[in-house]
Amino acid sequence: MEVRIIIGGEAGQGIQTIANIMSKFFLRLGYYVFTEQSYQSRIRGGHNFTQIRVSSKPVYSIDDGVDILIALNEETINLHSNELSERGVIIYDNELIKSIEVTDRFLGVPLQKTAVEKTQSKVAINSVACGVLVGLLDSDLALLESLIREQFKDPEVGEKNIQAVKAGYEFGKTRNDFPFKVPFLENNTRLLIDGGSAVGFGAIVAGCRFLSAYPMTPGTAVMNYLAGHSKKYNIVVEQAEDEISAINMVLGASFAGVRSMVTTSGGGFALMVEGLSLAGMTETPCVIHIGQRPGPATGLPTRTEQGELLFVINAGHGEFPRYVTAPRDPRDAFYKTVKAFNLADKYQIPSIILTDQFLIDSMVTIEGLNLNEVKIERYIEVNPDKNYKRHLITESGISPRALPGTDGILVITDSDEHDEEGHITEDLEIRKKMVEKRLRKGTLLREEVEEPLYSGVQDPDIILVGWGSTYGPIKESVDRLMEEGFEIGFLHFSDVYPLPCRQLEMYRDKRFVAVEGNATGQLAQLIRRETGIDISDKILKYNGRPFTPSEIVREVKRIWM
Amino acid sequence: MDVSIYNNNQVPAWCPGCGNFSILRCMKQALAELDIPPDKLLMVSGIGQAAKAPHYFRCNLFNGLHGRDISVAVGAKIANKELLVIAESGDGNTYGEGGNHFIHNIRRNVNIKVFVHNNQIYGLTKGQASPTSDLGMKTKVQVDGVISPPFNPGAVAIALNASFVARSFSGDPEHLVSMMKSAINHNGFALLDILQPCVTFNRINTFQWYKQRVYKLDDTYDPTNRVMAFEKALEWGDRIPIGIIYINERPTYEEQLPQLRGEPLYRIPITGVDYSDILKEFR
Repeated sequence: MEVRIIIGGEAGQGIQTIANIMSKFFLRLGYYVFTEQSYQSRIRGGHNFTQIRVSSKPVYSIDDGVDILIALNEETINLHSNELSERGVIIYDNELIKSIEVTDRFLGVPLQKTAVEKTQSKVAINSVACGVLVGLLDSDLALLESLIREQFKDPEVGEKNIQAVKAGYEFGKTRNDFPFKVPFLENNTRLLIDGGSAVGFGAIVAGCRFLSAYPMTPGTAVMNYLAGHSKKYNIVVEQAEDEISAINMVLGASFAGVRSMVTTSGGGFALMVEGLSLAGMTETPCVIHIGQRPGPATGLPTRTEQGELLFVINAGHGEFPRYVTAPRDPRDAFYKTVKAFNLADKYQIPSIILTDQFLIDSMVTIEGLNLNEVKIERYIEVNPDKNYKRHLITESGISPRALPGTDGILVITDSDEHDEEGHITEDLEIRKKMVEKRLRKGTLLREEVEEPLYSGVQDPDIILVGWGSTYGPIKESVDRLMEEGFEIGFLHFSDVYPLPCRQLEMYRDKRFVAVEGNATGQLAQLIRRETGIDISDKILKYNGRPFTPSEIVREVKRIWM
Repeated sequence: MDVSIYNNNQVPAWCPGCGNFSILRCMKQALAELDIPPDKLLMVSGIGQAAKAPHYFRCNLFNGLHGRDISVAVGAKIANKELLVIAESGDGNTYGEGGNHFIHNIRRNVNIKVFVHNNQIYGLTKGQASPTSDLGMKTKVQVDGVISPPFNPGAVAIALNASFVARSFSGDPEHLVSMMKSAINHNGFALLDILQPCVTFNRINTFQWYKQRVYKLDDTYDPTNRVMAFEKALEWGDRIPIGIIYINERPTYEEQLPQLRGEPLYRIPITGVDYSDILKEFR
């Protein structure tokens, strides 16, 4: 069983509320859900839509096509009716939208009028629409009612909305011939989580207690998440005057002993780059979350892209090690965020979590997170030697890290080249040793990165290569191609820098196809740089929208021919 | 505490006769008189000749980027409020490159101290105008003289409701020590602007130039009067007031955040925390 729902309308009409309630509704019935948002850079108006894909089998992505289109404005009908599946239906407000040509594919419901009748407020359009959906799908009205009660803290408002839901439900029931039914499926303990919350939750569990950021879509989601939990878990979230300040505040807090992070997007990270280099030089751990969106410059602020890989691995003047991870889904994002904090502390380096708007804003059902698996190791010397030297040259390159304020020692560091104590030096012998010491940490770091995840047949003719959030759509496309008999495989990189190369070397004689959400194939370029493997076949998308499995299937077949 | 506890073996890279030497001596003196042990002091500095100062006495030190020291200092103080955190740099660093951080951290009012060596010129880059250079000063870059009026740190700070604004002069060590102590003892963001000659590049604002002009605010001056404080901050030319110009007791950042009222943030355990409430949000 699979049903695809699109809710479209203007910003401010409550599309997201419907999507949130209905996604939880399907989760609790026992279904797998993938919910993706497409929105414009504005507060009101425009055209926004959310797609909910519901299935009795795991889903990793949105896909083409729609079975139920909920149109809160006429534009939604104009833009999406051509995507309607054979047995699909369009729900629209027949009191407000009069100028369209109605066929039996349309279900007219006076959404706004019903909302006002039941609650004296247009806002309750969401509740009416949820009711219509549940009626149309012949599903569990009582579950929807309990979700509505959870949603509204004021019981009186909640009750009014339940009346709105019930009225909507009756409208939905009038289409009892609708072929898609969503009955209760199974009890489950799965979670519904978006990438932004997953990074935020991972950070909290990792012990991040200071976040400084300047608001920038889509990175802001992580700042909002930590702020929402700040009082209960003793987290200080400070909105900085600019990104330069954000990263410098974080380095100060980290130097003084608190796990700290910034969150931003490509443009904000560009402003932080000098601070990144400072983290490298002073060997101060920090975690940088970058939610990618299309550039250059301001680009498409609310859309998605994988355009910052090469920027991020090369950012910063001077040479110093860093860890870069690009989680494949919210579950991975949770664990990789914890790993980013642990590696930052272990190697005293910047760790970068590279997500994008698609990952941050999409909600997906995942198997429960195991918090017992999370190990936190700070690598801080509580009783350091009396002759403590912050930048002691060691075989591993890692100097013992103590905190300022520790009795009897001084902790000194400098953005200038420095001696072991941390004082400015122009001794060129020491300079050489310090460069080598810092880079030795990078050699060890190579052993920490996770090899790409392989799925597919044992001896593939073609291997798709991807990284980060495109995992879901590529995975689904590969599964479908395998079902059709294609001898295909898929290598997905989550840790991207230092680039793990063992599997690439193992498959080096195969034909690779890079599938990336950018215009130049940045992972392919990195692979060539690190291994010499030249990937000439590429499937690239850079219009601001995420890949769908169907389009990857089409493109792979085109390349195969 | 004996001043010698702050001595280290670093050799200053300053020009002979530089006002920085006096400021360094005063710094050690003030800290010794306040009994602040070096291991409980965190100095943060940026880039420039002034920003090297904390290398020349015993303290914890984060010598960061040009203009960004106040941000680092604020982050460190949030992490460990038990440290005395002082940001020390020059006029170009603090009022030029770091201007935005200067402005917004006055608003934030984290309990850190900002000591600015203000010699009205860029020294380390060899003699360009600084944000506080007087109009008309000729340099290798400002060949016909400075045409933009100077940045007035005191007036800007008072306009932003700074909690403590003071000015002193490197040529009056006794006064400077007392201003440093007052700034350190103040609960909140404290700005101390320290007038200082640059013997190599600033041929206008010399030791004699300052010596003839500075005068101390006396007991009749009320630093809590904002209008009077503006007047004193704007006074520049034949007579230049030094002393505590403005005090505005207001809640610090730390006092306003419940997360920071108890144990220092860095000591609050991050393991063994129960997160089951958060997991429920995802159902």
